[in-house]
Order: sequence, then structure tokens, then C-alpha cells
Amino acid sequence: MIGLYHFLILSGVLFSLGVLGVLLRRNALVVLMAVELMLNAANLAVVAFVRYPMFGDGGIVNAQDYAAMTNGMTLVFLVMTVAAAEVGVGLAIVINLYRQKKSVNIEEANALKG
Amino acid sequence: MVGAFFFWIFAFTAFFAGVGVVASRNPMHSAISLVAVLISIAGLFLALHAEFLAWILVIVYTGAVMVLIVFVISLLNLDKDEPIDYTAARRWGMAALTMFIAAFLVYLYADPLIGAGHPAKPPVPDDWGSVQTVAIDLFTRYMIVVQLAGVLLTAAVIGAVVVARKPEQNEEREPGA
Amino acid sequence: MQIQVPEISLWQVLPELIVLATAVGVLASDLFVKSVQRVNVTLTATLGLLIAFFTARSLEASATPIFAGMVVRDSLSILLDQIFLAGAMLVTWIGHEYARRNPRQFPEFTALVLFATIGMMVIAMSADLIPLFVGIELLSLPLFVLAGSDKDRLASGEASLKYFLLGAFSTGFLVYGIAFIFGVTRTTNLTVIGQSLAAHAEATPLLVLGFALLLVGLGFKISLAPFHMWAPDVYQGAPTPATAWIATGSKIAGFVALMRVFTLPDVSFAALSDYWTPGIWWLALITMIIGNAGALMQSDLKRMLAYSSIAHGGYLAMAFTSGTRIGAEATLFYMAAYLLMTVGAFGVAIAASRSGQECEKIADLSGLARQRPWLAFAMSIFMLSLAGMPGTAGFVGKLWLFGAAVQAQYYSLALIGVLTTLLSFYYYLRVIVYMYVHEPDDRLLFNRYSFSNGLALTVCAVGLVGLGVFPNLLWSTIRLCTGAV
Repeated sequence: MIGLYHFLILSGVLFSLGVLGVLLRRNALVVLMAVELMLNAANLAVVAFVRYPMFGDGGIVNAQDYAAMTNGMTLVFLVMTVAAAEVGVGLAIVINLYRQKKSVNIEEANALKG
Repeated sequence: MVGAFFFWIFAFTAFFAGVGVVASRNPMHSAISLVAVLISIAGLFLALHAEFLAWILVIVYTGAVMVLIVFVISLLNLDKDEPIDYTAARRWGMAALTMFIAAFLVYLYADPLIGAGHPAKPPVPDDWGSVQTVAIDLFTRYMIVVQLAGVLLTAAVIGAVVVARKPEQNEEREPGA
Repeated sequence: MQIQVPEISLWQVLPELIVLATAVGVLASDLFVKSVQRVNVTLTATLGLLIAFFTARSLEASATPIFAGMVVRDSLSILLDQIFLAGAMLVTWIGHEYARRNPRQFPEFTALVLFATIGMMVIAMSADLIPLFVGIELLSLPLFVLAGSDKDRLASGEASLKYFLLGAFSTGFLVYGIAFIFGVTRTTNLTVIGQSLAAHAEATPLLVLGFALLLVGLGFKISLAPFHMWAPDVYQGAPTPATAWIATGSKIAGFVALMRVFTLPDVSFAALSDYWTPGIWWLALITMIIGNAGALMQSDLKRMLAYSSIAHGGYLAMAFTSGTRIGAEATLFYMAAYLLMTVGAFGVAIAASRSGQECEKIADLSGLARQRPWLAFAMSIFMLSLAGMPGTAGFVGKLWLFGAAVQAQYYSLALIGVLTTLLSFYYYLRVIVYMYVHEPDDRLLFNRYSFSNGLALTVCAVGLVGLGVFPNLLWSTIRLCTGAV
């Protein structure tokens, strides 16, 4: 039987993979994609929480459950919007740096000391 | 049982594609893997009766955002293998930290997973998670956040143009400077 | 299907709308007018911000959330709106000066500062995690761009990339934290969460995990150690007016977000303070030590100010940890003081340039007192206030911060705070010594600074001394804000 915790574990694993990608990879674009992975892991957790009410009586779906459902889905919807905006700005920043350095490697971004 | 079958299919695809995002040497392979992750997650969304979000995820993410990323990879000619340096000790320290986080998560879930069982999963009506249900609340209760998201996207568009624009183009403006 | 439209009370968010209109107006002027004069841009922005400021002042405070519970116009949000609007005005003025030597994209620069300001104001009035999250992003995205807006310097582009990647990374933690909080409470509405927690406070592991992730996400935004690594590089690389707004607005807004989520009684997670207090306690401790120790070794002015700003984040977090009313009041007062002194210090860094040479090293300030006495005098006030010299707002604010910590019986934290403050006198006074004692190392003259920058510095300096001598000017308003507590 598949339940909430299956989804949560999958989400946790994907989130950890994203964190790992941010920490291990030096290519700015790959880091950006790893961040997208983290955001989508969070979205998966929210949608799973919406479907499996943790403290509900689990019987009949009532108006309150509907309110919680739209609440969670609005959250996910806005996370997607924000992620899209972030990708737009992020790619522009990467292109800007590439134009100056011909590289998207974070390690080579060392004009600043420290 | 059909639900369980779909879950495992999508979960494994998502997991292995997720590993692909992080471990591919070629950024283009990472991008394609991310597309696979997103499609799997959209499948899981469908399994969770979140129709609206599933389609949004496919259309907005896979259809627009990922295409943008792939486009930039091609534009910057990054479609080639690069060495991944797994040796730096500092990074392994951080990786160990991540593993610790992951282990903690599993520890948190393992108990209810084996013991008390899952929270109940009430059967839902057809309009649960449908475009109409979500849209009605999105444009009434959450109207102000949708407006705010509009402001955010405006700011992002302006910002992206400001950063990506070539500097020479604005030399001619600002004559008084 | 019956659709109920909630009450739309636009006049309650009028200040935000005015700032938005100003931002769009500034951009549109660039579109329609052949060559926009910088002075007109600054004047438009100033006018818009002033109108918004006085609109915010005239708003009626009410603790009842509006827009279906999404935002709330309480006296706290009104006060913070005024602080943010005043800060945006000061940043626009010092940015005007900077744009003279870096004459590009000035309308966009101003518009992005205004967009970030809207984000801060949204954070200040959030009564729900969703607008809070969108506000944080609306604040962050323009700042990423501002950090990279100086195309001549490679450091600016790199700072922008670093800031962006770490900002996006922290967003991941923030969202995951919100996800767990939503999962446990079945809502993102802070009012509802606060009320149900006040009735029966119960911390499940998932909820605590949600707190922790939220704290990590916000910790990045306000550069609490150990999440501060980005700050020195970004502060150094970004154009100085952008740095000023990153150091002040973004940090204050981050603390406001923490306040909205964690400390406000009955409308936040205040009932579970036993669980999140230890986390912030340790972060405050490490931040104070790392910030001050890092600042000791810097020869670069902006890097030194970056570490100093990290340290001040630690002091704020210290008072914040107490979770008491005096702690909240001290935090609010110190936010205002911190804004004035930090914007002022960066303003001097902009003004004290020689022909074709930015002021980068602390040594570049040598001989400033002889050539630009007023500039040096203002910088001395900012430095002394940052260090906490009696007679300045920095002293009064610190006194209350430490008082709040002592009252909450965080003696070790207060002790570390006092010790690090004493340590900080060294690096702040070093700046004054360079300005007054050292001879300039070359014969280059300092540039004339513009009227707007002089005005901004005067406002900051007078404000700091004024609040230092008559703290009640602001204190009474702050007490009104927390009076309902």
C-alpha cells in the first residue's frame, strides 16, 4: 500500500540530491538545475500532504479539506511561478558572466578574494 | 495495486533521473534528466489527484523553463563533457552533511512507515484538484498573491533584460553624464 | 457554482501600489523620453516614495487580516513600511551619486530598487506564508540583478552569480520548510496556525524540521553565520548603492520575516518558542563572533562593512531570541538605527572617490578630513554609531538589545555581545584614524559629491544623533506597535 511516507521519502531523496548537486557541481547551469530539483521535491511533498491529511479523520472530504487543498495547490503554483522567474533571471546572470569570462564555472569566478 | 505500480515506476524514474541531473558530466544530459524528473513528478501529481498542477508542471516547466535552459546550454556551447572533481575534501564534508540530512529524513519517516501506518487517504470527488476548483480559489481567496506574482514576474523580466543586455547599447544614452 | 469574491481593500495596500506605479513610471519615462536626465529619475522616485511614505503614515492600523487573511495592516507593518520607504529614498539618493560616474541603466537601477522595496513591504504585512514567500522572492530577484548591474567590473558579475546561486539555494530550503509546516498544520495562514497552536501547542518532528529548514532559508537571506559565506564577496563585488540596499533592506526584511513567522504572539509559531529559540540562540552566538572576528582583518572598506553587517545581524538575532516584548522593541529600534548608519557608511564610500578611482580600501580614505571635512565627520558619526558610542542611536539600540538579552536571562549571549562590541571599536576607530590622522598617499583630490548624496548623508547623521539623544521620538511609535502585545 502506497502512502504519504512513500511520497515524503521520495521527496526527501530528491531534495538531498538537489543539495548534493549544488554542493558538488561547479557548473552554474547544473547548480541551477539542482536548485530546480530541490524546489520540485518540496512541491511533491506539498501535493502529497494535500492528498493525505495528517490529522484529518480520513472519512469524508469536507469544505475544510477543500480549503486546505486549494491552499496547498496555490503554494505549489506560486513556487512554480517563482522558480520560472528565478530561472529567467539566473540564466541572464549566467549569460552576463559568460560574456565576460567565457566560462560558467563557479570555481573560476575568483575576482573577489575570499 | 495499479496505483502502487504507477508510484514505483515514477518514483524510480524520478530517482535515477535525479541522480542523472547531479552526476552527468554533460550539462545537456543533466537538463534532459531534469526533464525526466519533472515528467515523473507530474505523473505522481496525477496519481495524487492534482490534475491542474500536473499539467502546469508539464506545460510551464518542461515546456518553457527547461527549453530555456536547454537553449542557453546550446547558445553558450556548453554541450560537452566536463570533468567533475569529486576529490575536494571540503565538498565531501558538505556531501556528508547532505547524507546526514537524508538519513535524518528517513529516520523521521521510518517509524510511522513501519509502525503506525499511513494517514488515511479519503476517497475524493472528481473536482478535487481540478482546474476549476483551484482556479476559483486562486482568483478569489488568493487574488492578492496572484497579483504579487505578476509584480514579481515584471521585476524578473526587467531584471533579466538589465543583466543580459550588452553594455555598449546604453553608451549612447546618458549624454549628460 | 457559486463564487464568493472576498472584500478587496485596495486603499489598505496603497503605499505598495504607489511604489509600484513609481517604478513603472520611472521605466516608462525611459521608454518615451529620448534622454532621461538622472535628476528627473531621482526626483520622480523621491516624490513617489514621499507620497507612499505619507500614505503609509495616514493608514489606519488594524489587527484584522485583509484580502481573505493573506495580509494584515497592523501598526507593525505600517511602521516597517515607513522604515523601508525612508531607506529606499536614501538608497536612491546615494545611487544618484554613483550613477554619475557609472552612467548606465539608471532608470532601471531605480526601478529595481523600488521593486525590491515592494517585496520588503509585502514581507512586512504578510499574515500568511505564501505572500511572505513571494515577498522574499520579490525582494531577492531585483537585488540579484542590482548586484550584477555594473558591467565594467568583472567582480560585479561574479557577485551577482554568487548571490543568485546561494539565494536560489536558500529558497529551496525555505520552500521545503514551508512544505512541512503546511503538511502538519494543513494551512499556510499564520493567524490560523498561531491560534491553533495557542490552543494546544504540539511540536511534531515534522514541524520542528519545518522550522529548522525555514531558519536555514532565512538565515541565508540575513547572512547569519554559518550561512554568511556569500556576504563579503557579494558586498564587495556589487555596485555600492546596491550593496547598501542588500546590507540594509534585505537584512531588515529577513528579520521582519523571522518576526512574522516566529515571535508575534497568537499569529505565529510563538507558542512553540521552546523549539526554535535554541537554534537562533546558537546562530546569534556564532554570528557575533564570526562577524566581528572577520571584520578585524579586512583592509577593504566594503568587505569590512560586510563583516560588520554580519555582526550586527548577530546582535539583532540576540535580542530576537529573547522573544519578549522588549526584545521585539529593541530589534525594531535597532533596525532603524542600523539602516541609517549602514546606508550612511556606504554613502560615504561612494562619495569619497577620487577622479576615476573608487574608494575601495580603508586606506583610500586617508586624508579625507582635510579635503572633505563634512564627509569625514559624517563617516565618524556612522562608525561611532556602529561601534555603539554613547550619544548615537547605535548606543541606545545596543543598550536595549543587551537589556533584552539580559532580561531573558541569556547572560552568556549578552556577555559575548558586549565583548565583541568592545572588539569592534578597534576596526571602526581604525577608519576614523585613517581619515583624520593619515596623510593621503597621493595628491589626487577627492571628487565633489553631489547634493543628493550630501542630503542622504546629512539625514543619516542627523537621524543617528537625533535618535541617540532623543530615542523617544521613535521609541514611542515602536511601543504603540507592540502595545497590543
